Amino acid sequence: MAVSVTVTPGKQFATDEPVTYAKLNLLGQPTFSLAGTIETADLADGAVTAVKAVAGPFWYATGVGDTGVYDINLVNAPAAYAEGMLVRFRADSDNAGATDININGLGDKNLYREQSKELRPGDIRSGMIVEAIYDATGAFQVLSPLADYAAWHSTSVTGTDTIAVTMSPTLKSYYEGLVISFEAAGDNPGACTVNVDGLGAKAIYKNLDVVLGAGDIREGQVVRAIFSVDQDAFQMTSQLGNPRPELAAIVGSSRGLVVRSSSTFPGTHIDVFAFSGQVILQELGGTSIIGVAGFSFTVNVTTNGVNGLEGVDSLLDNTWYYLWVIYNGTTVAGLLSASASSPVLPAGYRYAAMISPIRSTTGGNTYQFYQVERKVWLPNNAILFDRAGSVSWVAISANSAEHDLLKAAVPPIAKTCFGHCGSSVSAARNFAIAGQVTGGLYGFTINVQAPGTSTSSLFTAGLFDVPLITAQDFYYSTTDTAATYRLYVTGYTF
Amino acid sequence: MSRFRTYHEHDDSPAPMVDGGMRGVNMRVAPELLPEQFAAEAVNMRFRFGVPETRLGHMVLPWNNKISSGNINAWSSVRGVGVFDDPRTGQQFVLIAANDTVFYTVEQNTPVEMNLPDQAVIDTDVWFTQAFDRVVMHRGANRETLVMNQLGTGWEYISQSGDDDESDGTIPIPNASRSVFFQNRLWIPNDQDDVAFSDIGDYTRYTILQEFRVNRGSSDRLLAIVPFNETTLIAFKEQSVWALTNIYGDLSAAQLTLLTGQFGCVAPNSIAQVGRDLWFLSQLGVMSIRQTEENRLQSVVRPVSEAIDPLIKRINWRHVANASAAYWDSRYYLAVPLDDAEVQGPELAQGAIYDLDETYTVQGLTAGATYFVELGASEASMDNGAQNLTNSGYFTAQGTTVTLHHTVGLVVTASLRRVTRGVNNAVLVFDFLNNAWAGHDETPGRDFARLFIARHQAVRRMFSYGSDGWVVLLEEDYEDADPFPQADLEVTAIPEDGDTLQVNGGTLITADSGLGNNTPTLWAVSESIDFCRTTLYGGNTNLSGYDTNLPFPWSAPNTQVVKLSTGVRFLSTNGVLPAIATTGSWATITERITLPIAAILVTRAYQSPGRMMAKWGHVWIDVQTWLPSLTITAVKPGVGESTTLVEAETRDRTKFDRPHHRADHDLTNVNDDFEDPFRQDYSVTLDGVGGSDGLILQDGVTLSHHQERRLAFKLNERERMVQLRIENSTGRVRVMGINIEGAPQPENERSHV
Repeated sequence: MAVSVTVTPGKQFATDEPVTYAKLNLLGQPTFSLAGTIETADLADGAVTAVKAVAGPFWYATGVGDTGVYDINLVNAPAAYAEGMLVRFRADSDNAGATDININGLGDKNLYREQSKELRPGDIRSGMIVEAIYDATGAFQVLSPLADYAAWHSTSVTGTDTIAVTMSPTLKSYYEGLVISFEAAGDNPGACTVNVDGLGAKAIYKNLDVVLGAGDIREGQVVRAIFSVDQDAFQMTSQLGNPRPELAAIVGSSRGLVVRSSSTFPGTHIDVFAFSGQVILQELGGTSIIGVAGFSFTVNVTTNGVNGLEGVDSLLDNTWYYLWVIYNGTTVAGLLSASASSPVLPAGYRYAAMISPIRSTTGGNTYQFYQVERKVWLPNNAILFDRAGSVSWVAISANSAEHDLLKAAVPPIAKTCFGHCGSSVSAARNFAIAGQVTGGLYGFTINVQAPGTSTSSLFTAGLFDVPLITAQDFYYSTTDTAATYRLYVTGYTF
Repeated sequence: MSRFRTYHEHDDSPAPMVDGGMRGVNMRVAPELLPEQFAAEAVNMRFRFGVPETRLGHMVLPWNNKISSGNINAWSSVRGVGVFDDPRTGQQFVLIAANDTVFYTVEQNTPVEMNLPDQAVIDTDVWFTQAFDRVVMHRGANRETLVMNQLGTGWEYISQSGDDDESDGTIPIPNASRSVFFQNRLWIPNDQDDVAFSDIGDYTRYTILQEFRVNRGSSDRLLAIVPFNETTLIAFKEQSVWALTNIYGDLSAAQLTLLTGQFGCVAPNSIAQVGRDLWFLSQLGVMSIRQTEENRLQSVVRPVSEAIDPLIKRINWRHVANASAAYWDSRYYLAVPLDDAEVQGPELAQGAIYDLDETYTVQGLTAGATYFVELGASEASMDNGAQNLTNSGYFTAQGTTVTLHHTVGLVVTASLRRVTRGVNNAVLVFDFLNNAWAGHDETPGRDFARLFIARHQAVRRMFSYGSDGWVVLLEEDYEDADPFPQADLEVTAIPEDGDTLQVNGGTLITADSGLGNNTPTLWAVSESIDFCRTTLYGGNTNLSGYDTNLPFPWSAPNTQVVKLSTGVRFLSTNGVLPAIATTGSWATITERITLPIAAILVTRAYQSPGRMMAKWGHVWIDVQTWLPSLTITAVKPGVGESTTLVEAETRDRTKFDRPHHRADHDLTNVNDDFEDPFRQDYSVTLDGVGGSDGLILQDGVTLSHHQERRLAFKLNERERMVQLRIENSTGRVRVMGINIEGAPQPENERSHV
């Protein structure tokens, strides 16, 4: 049916009716009434243009949810579904999963996302405007963004090991490929889980299936993870909070580092400097490393804290301590700790590297030393003195007194020690030193030639440098068993 | 130069009395005591600018009425009319509660039916009040109030905004018959004495404490509240009038004051704002609030209608509750029920011919409607269903026909008309520019249930609707719209075979002289013209005809057919003039779609100085007329004494008074002499003369020319006083001036009548 215009004359004259202005005026005011429908055939091609259209609820209605189907009743009901048919509706409720729509009772039709995929729970939310077009397969394809976004993001996050994330709108389910991101509430202490909108805690892994280490997630860090149904866990795809260690960066390694007993207060102060050098530090408990350079400081072993002792203000007698370079981001300082691996850093200090073993004396002072990088020079420390030789290999540790002397001279972490050895008689002797005597001999034999020049009370002498394959121990053997053999340790490396 | 050459010793010179202009009517004072410029009575007259003239007439604007298939119809019932000024568009819409629903309309657009909520019905009078950008519709005490937020959405039940829990002291909008929007609140008289008012800016919320009680507990019913000024509302009760003053802010300063307990308001719709005053109809007549306040100081009660007290006394007080008023064009119009408070419809019987069985059946009645039959000299009785009436009187139609009985071949002398009773059949008019009443208006067949103001052609105009369902524009045309358009088809010659007739697209009838009786499509036209006139309607030997009671009647859609002695009258039932199409030369068609306005002016009584008997001589009356039919009568003080000076005098629009030998004006204006002077009448029809249709505009045709002339009469009456009654039954008349000569006569000592 086309449009019909009914015109009712404003005035009808009877025969012989006098004409007046009022009647003529009314005659010029017919009443119009439009009825009917403008059909496609009534319009010329291109007749409907944008400038003639006014925004309005075109093909729009409320979608009334009813057990998986949104019923949509358009004002003007279409006769049948047709490819390209556009419909828009405001959902009155969330969808619970796969969803159909039914327009003006024409029948249920699938409503797909991504061409042909069923909707997920919560893809459509109450009040959401959904736009879809009927396709050639007999289903509607959603054109409008869905509530189940490609990436969910939240800043509403609590917890550091059991991380609870609240999304808006709420996530309805975990599914393969679900991408979430959130802004971490704090550093993770280690392994942790993520629980999104109370759907259940799921582990979050790095590198496929590796449990997170402490600090892999940092406070304020935007963490991105993708859900794997097979793993039933999230895989973290964003950068870890702990940067990968640089391959060339060895913690504690240094260049141009000098550590020595203070020349002013040699028993209580230790000078450390690397004016043009550098030391590599590591975040304690973490993996990040950092280099500090151009620094100097002095450690006082009678004070507690930064540039002093860890937790105390005096040294125990005859004990190995370890000197740490510590760093809080601005200040490079020192700390003397009883631990060679896990010092407790003063507040604010995060980075540390152990740079030197320090031996205390009886009376709470320190032995004097001079260290360059990881090599330490000591005064002469007589380990064997006119000690009877042994023609077979014997360990220092075989004699506890001599062993105690060695343990007081080189720290447990020392890897080599060096010194000199010889005999107190002027006669040719052999003095063999080895780090290991079984499974491969690591050592050497010093041939002491007679007569020789007395050196350090040794008539015959030679230098040795031996690996400490067994901590604070090594082997020796001599030409004979005469009690003339002497051995001095003058340093070590670690 | 004097017309009297000489006077004798004891002669008094004639005393000329002049009325050069008139302000209005005073019916209360004796005619001979009236001052100049006042008439004793006026019907359908106005006195603007000192000239009494025929009022302007009513006109039907199609878009204010029911339009169906291009035809204009009256509403089946009108329950109320309101005006909605849309603040969003600036457009004004007229809201019409009719036909059991509500329509909105705007100029030149077909009325649109509005949505009503479920269960809502329009079966009582309604009242529209615009509040901000919406309209509330009150449907009386037993129906919920509705609101219209958008025209397209239609009407809805009103939900209280915000928390609608009544425990917080708020209540929903009460049911009511009317309200007023004042100071951003909706004020609702909702009980015998109570006035509820809404929150400011929220017409939906009323608190229990938000009520004024106007003289609580009395039997004096509160009818209406109306704004008086920016801070005052007037509460009109049946027996008293109250002022609610100091209305502003939280209303804590509001005061209730009794203005008068001597009278009240008898019709809430009679209240109208007139300038800075309120006028309304009371038991004593039309009252003014301002004058009421002044009277209170002077301890007198003087209605503003004092000058038309005889009219006030004619008010039918049993039906006065629906009196309605409006203020327009500096006039106060008050529609009232006068006398029997009824209007009559068109004649349905008189002039018909009795059939062979000595009956005449009147068709097209509305069962249940009231009619009045006045049996004439020809009638013995009338059958109304099972009822047989032998006397004139009112009756309720039991079906769609009644049958009159008398003698075959006689003309029906009975008059049968539909009657609508208890309606406002007259309008009293007060002209504020003249500060005088202009008399009253009457229109045959039309009543005025409500007067209201709405916009037409960008200006405020006054409208009315009546019990007939027509909404009309008032004060517009030179004639009144006929509520019942009609066309008379008279058989003035015997049709020839093949001549045809068709009414409103109904049955196409063909004349056939070879038939003795009609068939469903053939009209028997043998024998005589009277035979043709009879068979046109039908007659009791026919199976077909325009008599709908015949077995196979001819159809004439949207008409009610009345038999005439010379043919048939087709009364329109849809407001559209019946279209009669004929071929041949046998028919005369007379159409009527408008009614002339019958105007009457009765002058004051002219009296000689000293109240002596006078010899009344010359009378000169200057009039301007347009299509007149003028009757002038000299009325003398004695009972029934009058002299007709001129009766039903018309003017010929073809004749020139000067020069006397001038040829007639061709009504087609082919000679381009329409505007030439001295023609008797300048009214225009489109039918020309002698069947030549049309009017050639040439150099112009002015449709509103009123031709002036001086009417001169000589009375030769010896009377104490004399009045002039000027009646014009068609067209228009303006009375420009009256000059009457009376010469005092010597008194004799005898009494006489």
